[in-house]
Amino acid sequence: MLSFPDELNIYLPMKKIIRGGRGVKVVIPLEELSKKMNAISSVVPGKTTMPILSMVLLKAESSGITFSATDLDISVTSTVNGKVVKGGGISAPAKKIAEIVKSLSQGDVTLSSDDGEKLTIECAKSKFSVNGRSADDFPKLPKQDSKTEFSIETSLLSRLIQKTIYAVSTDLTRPALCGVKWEVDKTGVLMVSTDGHRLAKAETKLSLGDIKKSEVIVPPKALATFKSYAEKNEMIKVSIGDNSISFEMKEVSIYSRLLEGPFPNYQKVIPSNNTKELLISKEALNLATKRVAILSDALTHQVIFSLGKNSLRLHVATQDLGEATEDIDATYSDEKMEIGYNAAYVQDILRTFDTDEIAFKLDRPDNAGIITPVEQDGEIKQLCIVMPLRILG
Amino acid sequence: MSGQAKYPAGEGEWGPNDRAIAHIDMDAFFASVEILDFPELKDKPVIVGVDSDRGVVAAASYKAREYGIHSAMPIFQARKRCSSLIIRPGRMKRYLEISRVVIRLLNRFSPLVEQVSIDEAFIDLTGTGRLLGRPERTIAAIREEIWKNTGLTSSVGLSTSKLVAKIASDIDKPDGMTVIPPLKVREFLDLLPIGKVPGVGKKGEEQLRKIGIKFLGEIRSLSPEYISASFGKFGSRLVEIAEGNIASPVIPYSQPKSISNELTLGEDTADFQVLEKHLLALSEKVGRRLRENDFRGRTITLKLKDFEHKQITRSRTLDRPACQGKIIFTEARKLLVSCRLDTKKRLIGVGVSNLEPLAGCSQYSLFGEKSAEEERWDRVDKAVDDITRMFGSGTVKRGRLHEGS
Repeated sequence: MLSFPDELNIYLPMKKIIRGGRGVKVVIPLEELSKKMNAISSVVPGKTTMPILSMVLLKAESSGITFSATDLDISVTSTVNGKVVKGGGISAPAKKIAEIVKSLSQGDVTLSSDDGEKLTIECAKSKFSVNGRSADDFPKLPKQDSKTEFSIETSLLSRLIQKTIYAVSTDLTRPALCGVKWEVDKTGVLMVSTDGHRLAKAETKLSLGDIKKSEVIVPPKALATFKSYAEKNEMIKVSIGDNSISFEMKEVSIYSRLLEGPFPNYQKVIPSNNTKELLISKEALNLATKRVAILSDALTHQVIFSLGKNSLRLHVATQDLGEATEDIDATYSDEKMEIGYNAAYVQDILRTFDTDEIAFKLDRPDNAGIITPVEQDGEIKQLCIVMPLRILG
Repeated sequence: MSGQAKYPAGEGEWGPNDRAIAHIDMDAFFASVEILDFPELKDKPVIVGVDSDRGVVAAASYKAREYGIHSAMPIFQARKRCSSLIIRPGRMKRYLEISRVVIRLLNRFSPLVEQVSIDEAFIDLTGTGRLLGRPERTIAAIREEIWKNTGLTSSVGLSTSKLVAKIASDIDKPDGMTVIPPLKVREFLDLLPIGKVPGVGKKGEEQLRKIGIKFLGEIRSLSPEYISASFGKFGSRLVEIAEGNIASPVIPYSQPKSISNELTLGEDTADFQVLEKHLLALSEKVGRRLRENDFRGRTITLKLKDFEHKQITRSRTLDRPACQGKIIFTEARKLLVSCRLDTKKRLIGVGVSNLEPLAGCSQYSLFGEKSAEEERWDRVDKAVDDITRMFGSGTVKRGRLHEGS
């Protein structure tokens, strides 16, 4: 038999010459099945030239039942609570299985296959037989090339992600910006993302022991997938290699390829001489921005911030639409200033703060503004940068 | 207000089926707004423009025009002509504000208002006779309203087509009104000096004079085939104008959704290099059209049709909007690379959608607006645009697009 290097395995599913245990049979409570199918479906690519990728791999072993899905960039394997009647495996079309499961009303669901190519789903008086493929056709899940390993609480990791993922670029011409940069060393974890118009940075101090320093760019789909599984707080293992990252949770393991750098030198663009400070309530600013933005331009979402003595006025004027104004109490004692911002950017940022008092540190209407919580919480130090819009005239 | 209708009432009435179209042109708009807001500038030579080595006059007051200063003249030249020249930096926000007032006002008279630029618009008054009275009276009322609401004067041409209205508005400037009623249009066009016909530049005028044509009417004495053969598309357009075939509609403004160009190939091909070359030419053209219309866009789309007319489109969206041929080409080329050229293609096209205005407010960038190289290419694009505007398209093209290369 030919042997391929590990790296190629995920592209070239090998057919075993001798197929082992063809049949499989498991019984899973509907609620559990529905939850796990739903979660794994988000990994299944919508459009693909390789039909096998639209399938979910069901495996039953003495250790338990697992579902796996992959788009070749991300692979997820999740354990499913149920009874193994007969060990084995099958690949079945994920979207159809999810749809069928969703349509069922109650009871235990039996998933079985005699030949390992057709999956039978039985629940109460319903019976479906869905064409699938052999478990052996499913791409082999890759091995992690781990260099840096550490343990972290899911809740903390989720918060770091939530504070940075929104600023990731979608511009495929700048692939390095299409992910969140992680800097991990023995003192903690730092995440930063930017799309060139705004930047988000969040860091936590942790004593991670004697680990190797690692700087990598993680695609947002991997982070979103992690977040979707991280509902219970637990300690998990994160392993980072040169080309991949993996998250080992109790019930789920997620593997993802990394993006290629270089990530731009973000420290260079964090202003150091922004001396004008505006203190304001996040809630008040968020609501006011939401209101005035109703009349903002659909493309630019421009809202003008007029800063005066202890006040902030938000103003929107859009040709063909109209105008809106709202005044907010604030603490500000520097010179009067008008700055234009994209309302959507401002709202994205406000959503990521956990405390109500926030500070804008500003310089000029055409320079980067820094937004931070007035009091950083004990766990995460957070900083956002947003570039203004050029105001006409 | 000094404007008097050039044709006394009775000479030409608008019948119920005659089109009535007016061209409204604000007089020395930017400069007039400056004078309006800063009365101390009144009767002084004022221009609006950026006072730098490369700045040009964006607008000149009538006093400045007495010194021979006109729009698009380099500022250093203008300064040579008039030592007491007052140069104001533009206040686009204010000009837009007033422009909006004028357009809103025009919309009270007819829903068919086509804004051509910040200071000109067409209004279609066809069929408003029963509601508003004779179009000349309506136009007089519009000018009065503009004056009352903005304190600015305008010059108006009223006729039966956009083309004649536009020529007419230029006849009595500033603060004038010229009416060419339906029955006078033919005579007006026949006696129109050829250089006044929109689209006929200095060069065109010279060429036409060489074959003895001084007035538009004389075009009709020549055979249309001869004109078309000698002057191409531009010639056929001239024949159409001379025959009075000029009924283009007044189109209320709506922003285009996309700008694209496509080409049916002379010969079906699956040759990447041939397709790539066409793509380059098309991308340059789309870029130029975007810039002409002051747009840039984020989504680049490639369209291919094979010999069986099966069509595929591929697109990708950028974070930063683009209007440069080079960027459009780079992205479209990547899309072409991703397409399998397993069948011969008969058509190739490239389009840019997800458009936004080029000017106006724009997002500052953290890592510098543009790289030095992008800046240089912007200047190349601008220079080529200027040359194209003066000498026609195809005057300057990329080396790779040159025949035989």
